[in-house]
Amino acid sequence: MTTSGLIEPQSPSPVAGKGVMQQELADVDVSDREATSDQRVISIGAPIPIVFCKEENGRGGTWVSPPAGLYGATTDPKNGDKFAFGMVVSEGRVGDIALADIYKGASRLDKYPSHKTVFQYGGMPTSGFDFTLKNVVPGDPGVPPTPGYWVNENGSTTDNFQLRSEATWQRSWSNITSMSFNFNMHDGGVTQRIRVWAGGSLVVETGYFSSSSPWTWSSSFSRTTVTIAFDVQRYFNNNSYNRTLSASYTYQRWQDGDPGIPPTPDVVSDLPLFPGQAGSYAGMSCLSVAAQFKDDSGAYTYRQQVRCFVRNGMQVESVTSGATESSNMFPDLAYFLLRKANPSGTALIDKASFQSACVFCKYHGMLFNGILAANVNLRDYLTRISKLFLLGFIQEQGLYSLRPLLPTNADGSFYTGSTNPEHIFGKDQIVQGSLQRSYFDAGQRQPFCVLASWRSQRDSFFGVNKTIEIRYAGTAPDGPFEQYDLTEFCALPNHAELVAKYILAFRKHVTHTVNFELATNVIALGPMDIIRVDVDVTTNAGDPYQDSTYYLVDAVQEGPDGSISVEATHFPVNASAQSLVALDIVNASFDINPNDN
Amino acid sequence: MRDSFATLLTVRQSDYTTIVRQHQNRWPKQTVWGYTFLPFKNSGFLSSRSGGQSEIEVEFPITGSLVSLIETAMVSNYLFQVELRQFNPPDGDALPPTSVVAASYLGQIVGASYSEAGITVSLGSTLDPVEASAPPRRFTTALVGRPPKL
Repeated sequence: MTTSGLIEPQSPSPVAGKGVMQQELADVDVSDREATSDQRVISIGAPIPIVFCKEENGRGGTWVSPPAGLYGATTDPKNGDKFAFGMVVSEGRVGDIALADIYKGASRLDKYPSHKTVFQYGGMPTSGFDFTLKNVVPGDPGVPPTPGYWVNENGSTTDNFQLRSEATWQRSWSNITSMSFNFNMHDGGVTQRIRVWAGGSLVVETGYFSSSSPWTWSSSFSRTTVTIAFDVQRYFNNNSYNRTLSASYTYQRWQDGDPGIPPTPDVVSDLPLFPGQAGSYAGMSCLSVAAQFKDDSGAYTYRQQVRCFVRNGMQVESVTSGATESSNMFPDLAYFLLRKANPSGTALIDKASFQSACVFCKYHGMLFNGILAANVNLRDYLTRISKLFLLGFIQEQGLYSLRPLLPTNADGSFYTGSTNPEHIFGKDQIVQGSLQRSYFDAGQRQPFCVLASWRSQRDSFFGVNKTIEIRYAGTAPDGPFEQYDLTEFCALPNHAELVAKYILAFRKHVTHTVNFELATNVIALGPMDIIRVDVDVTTNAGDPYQDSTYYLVDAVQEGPDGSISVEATHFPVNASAQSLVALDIVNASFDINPNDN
Repeated sequence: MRDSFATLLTVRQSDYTTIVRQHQNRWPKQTVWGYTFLPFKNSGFLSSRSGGQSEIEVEFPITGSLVSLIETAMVSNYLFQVELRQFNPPDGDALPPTSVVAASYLGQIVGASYSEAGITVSLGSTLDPVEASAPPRRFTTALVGRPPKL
């Protein structure tokens, strides 16, 4: 049996420490790691995410890690890496995304040099973005040539000559422009000759002479090779007769410059990867981002995920104003999704109920700031999420409606006055013997602690899941705990707190469900109607039982025999017919830890 | 005490405001409250369930104009509004001047079958969230081209 007002808990998560669940710790960890995770790319067949949010009074909006449809990257160890991503942010048209709201990895995009970003609806910005994949191997810068120069050098030599045979001392110098020479053959009696060649031409030949006096010579040239030879003739056939030649010389020599090494150009090669090919991007909000940076860390920063903080999400038709604008109202999202499912079926939506639901959500600050990205069944999604806005998604007389789980005033506040049932059924209307009550397990009514998760976010910090503990004051200090996850859309703790209070009050006061059959002459009856069932049973045992109980109708079905079967959930009231659940939400004392409001 | 019932059928175009046909099934050969007689019957239209879907069936006699209407309605998403009216039966053959809506159902044709006995149409919602998924669109090659391979 469907119980309209019951919100089912998620699977419990073990407590890691006081006030902190293990899942919460894990979320913090993931948030830190995801900042430097690799850029996501689009997957064909995956749902186009819907970013649905609106920032009001500095609160709201949502972080988005958009997938890339076009991917450009250049690895260049010399000039720095570059990246250019063309990404799909959301289905539909979202508000413009400011540069200050865009991050690359863990750093804001405007911290990177040469950053550039363009936002566009209905197309991907490509002008000025290099969506190619390249690897640059830097060339050799080379060595520049150096000019030649003149060198003044000098030298000397001392050689011993054995005079038993002819001998020659010879030496050459290249690039010589001037030379002075001074020979001194010590000891006399040696026949000697001196020859000088310049550029291969014999320019001096003294002929043999015998003298121990120094022989000097100097000359200038035009950059040539000078060779000087000193010959001695055989003197005695005796190795013991030696003579010593000493020579000194100075010269100016041209030293050629270094020709240098010519530079080689960078080698740019395309990576064997595919950067993506553009589509029409019709009806989508796209963001192209590029930057250049020096990456010495080896962390491949260019690969890291681009994130952006979307302050105003997809523009939809407001069920309240009719304007097309960003919204944080869950009824607006539901209205959009239902109309998308069948554009011709608008008449099958009870728009007035959606408008009232907006008033209810706005009054209580229950706002939708999140992303619908995973493929979900629409009915399941709307049924599940609506309860976390304290709404019931119902089909009534063929129309889809959103109705608050508790009666409300016109301004959306909970109605805590005396409840007036829309129908009263007694023994004259209820088929005899058809009424059955089913009580909830006693365990469900024991005190417990609600762990309500929500998403804490600031525009300078990635969203982190937080959990607040809420229990009736002084009850269940050590559990049991039940976890309810609102993180996919809840960015305000008061929302999580209100839902938690409802869950606690419902479980405390609602005791049973009922089903019965009615005669066919019944006026309109539908889900979420509040009815009163009067029971008056008298048996042979005496002591007649009389009871008037309020119920919230879950379902009405016409049976094959024409009887009407009604399923309803206990709607507890006090002696003044005031809703106990509503009274507790408004007035009861709860322990809330931490209180982030 | 009101204890008599009549069923009214209003066929509307998908914009809801344009009425195509109006029929009642209680008073043969008469027009009551603007509704002409048509011997149709419905399976019961109080079916309604929280968060779920509901369908009802309406059986029509076979006539050329009805077959044409139903075929058009299926293509053009006509809306079928079935109302159970409750009224005080006046004395004699007089028609009831007023009535109240005891129950109603609004839906589109989600299925139809034809036999010699008649045409049976199932009314429901073609925006049926049981079949629909969210988000409504998916990445296709026409929309986003060929994604990167890295």
